Amino acid sequence: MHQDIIARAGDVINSRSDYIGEGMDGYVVLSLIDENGYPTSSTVTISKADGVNWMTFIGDIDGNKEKRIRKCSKASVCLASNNYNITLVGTMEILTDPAVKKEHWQKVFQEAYNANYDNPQYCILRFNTEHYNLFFADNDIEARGTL
Amino acid sequence: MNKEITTKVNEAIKKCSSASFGLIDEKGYPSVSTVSLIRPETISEIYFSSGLDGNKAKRLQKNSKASICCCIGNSSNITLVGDAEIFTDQETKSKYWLDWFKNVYEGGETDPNYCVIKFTTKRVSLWIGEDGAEFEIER
Repeated sequence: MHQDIIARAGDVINSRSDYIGEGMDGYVVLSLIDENGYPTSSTVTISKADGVNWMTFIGDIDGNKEKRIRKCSKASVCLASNNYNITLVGTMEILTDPAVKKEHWQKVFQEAYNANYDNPQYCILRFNTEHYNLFFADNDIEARGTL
Repeated sequence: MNKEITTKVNEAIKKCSSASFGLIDEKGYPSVSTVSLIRPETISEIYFSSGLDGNKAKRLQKNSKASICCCIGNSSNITLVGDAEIFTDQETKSKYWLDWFKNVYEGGETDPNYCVIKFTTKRVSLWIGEDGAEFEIER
């Protein structure tokens, strides 16, 4: 029913995952539940994505996000511009499989992780979408649904 | 709290015309979407408008816990965690009314669907340039 708008949102997400450079154009906002039950939102960079279905981010195994995900995997992602708002709701998982870590490894991580994708601090955060709420202003289209 | 950071972050928030607003939905998931801020002055209190019949207002009535995330350029991220409340009294609605809201609320500032959401910050986590900080706001 919403295939066109889902495909369009997927193109936006995929283009952000391809973003390399300075500026916030490659960023999205990730919201998690904190230890007191509050939503807490911060900016993250998409590493890889498959349209609206899933996306991955780079993580630190001892970081706040990872601690929160272990206690509650519920999450939301928002991408926005003057023309659109893409809200996705779903769950997070922490991936530590060496093959997955190697697949996501980029040169820019070398400084943070001592040039080593086997570094145990380095992990992958994967967001899997369950529900979507998509809005594109130029077509005045809004679509909500479950994947 | 470091006074220099406070000054920087309050200056930064004034440049934010929009932000990501996170709430808890009816199934206990966070749900984050974009809102247009109304004349932000400090990080202590943030105001924006919403429709009373919309998801945000419905969710806030069940759970006031909320979060705001502002990005400014490529050098700043401000994460605020706190509680949000809905105001429907005419004095507040008139005080925070902006002309362009007419595009959304046909009845103007007395439109019964127009309400003001006030976000009150409890905890701040931010980086501005090379400065980072985490602190709570005492009241």
